[in-house]
Amino acid sequence: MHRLIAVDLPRTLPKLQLFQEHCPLHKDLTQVLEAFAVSQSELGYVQGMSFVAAVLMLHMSPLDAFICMSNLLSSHFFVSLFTLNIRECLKHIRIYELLFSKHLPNLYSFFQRLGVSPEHFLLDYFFTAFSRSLPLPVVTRVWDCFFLEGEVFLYRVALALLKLYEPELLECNLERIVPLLRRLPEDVSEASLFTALEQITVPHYIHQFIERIVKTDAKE
Amino acid sequence: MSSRELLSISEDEDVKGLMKALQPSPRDGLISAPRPGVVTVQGLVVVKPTPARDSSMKSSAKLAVSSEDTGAQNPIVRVGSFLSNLLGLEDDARANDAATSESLRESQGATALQKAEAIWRKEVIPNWESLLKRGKLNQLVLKGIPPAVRGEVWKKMLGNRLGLTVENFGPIRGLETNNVWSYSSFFFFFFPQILLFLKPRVLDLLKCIG
Repeated sequence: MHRLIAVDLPRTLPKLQLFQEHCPLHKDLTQVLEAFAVSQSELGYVQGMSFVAAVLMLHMSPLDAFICMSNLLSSHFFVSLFTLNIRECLKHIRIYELLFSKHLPNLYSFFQRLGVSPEHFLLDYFFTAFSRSLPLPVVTRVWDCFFLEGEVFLYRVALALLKLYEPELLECNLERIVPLLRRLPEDVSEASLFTALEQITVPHYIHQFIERIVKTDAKE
Repeated sequence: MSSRELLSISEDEDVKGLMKALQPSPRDGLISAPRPGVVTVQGLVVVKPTPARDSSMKSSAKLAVSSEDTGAQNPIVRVGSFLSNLLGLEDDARANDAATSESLRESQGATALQKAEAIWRKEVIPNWESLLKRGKLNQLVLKGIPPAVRGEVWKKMLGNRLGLTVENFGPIRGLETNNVWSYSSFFFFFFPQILLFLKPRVLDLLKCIG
């Protein structure tokens, strides 16, 4: 585990030069991640967590970052992702697919024809709550809403991104789509993303469905 | 022309009344006589060219002025009523208006970012629970949380369901206990562009009002 973290840190937000070895936040981030892995032992450390912790640490003290991270990642959404519990993950992916087919029917049928399944790129987004995929200023704003609204907001952001790049995506073939979605251009604009977001609405029954998932999880 | 002079001068009647209410009285000797050619809108200073300048410049500047004007018409009154609506203090709306203008006067000349921060610190965070209950927060948060209060607000949003404490965190090295500070100042060093994003956001916030 210790080695895994050591391997991951140099890859964490390398542009900032804050979390790499001999950089100011290197030791703190290591401690946050180790404390997390010990106290949340059913999750342990999974690659990608370092990004979540790093973005939190930019805004608060290491102790607070640890507490926030533990609480954030204890939701059904993240637990099923990080434990790779396929059956539980699918519940969330189905919600996403439903919204996808409703909001972007053209792109949805195009993806179906090519055989691009959401797992190809979606897990990358969700594992780090976009902190690896989007530029940092955008991530912080996405998180503002995500923390308040819950996982629904992540679906909305994923769909808004697809909507932004819909024209380009429709011209791509299978080989190019997945790399494009995994490695989004670095100039994703905050303003255009949030404009696209306004048009992605989530019907009430989806909210209810998510509540039910969370409740049944709590009972178990 | 000093910035104080710029702030005190206004041409538009609406803005004039507004500024008058906000400025210290002329007896303070801080205010110079209104001078044509400059319009101030809540910290945004737009200099209109004098008639002597060439006409092409004038028209482009006018365009700029009109867009700024519509963007932030009567911003202070709007902030006041917005917040009072938001906080459900309709009966007390007037007092609240006054209080808000008071707090904004203190921060006059501050950047849009600092104003947003002041609003969050004074009005939003203390009333968090009631705003959350009434579903007013989504709209506010969608506009972006001012970076200086972001860490605090995030902590509030995420809560501590698991009831974790220092003990779960393990030994804290001496350095941090004495010197716990947020790295948000760093953050802005690396991402100055975020300030650009926030400016229109404050105007948006003002637009929500009324």
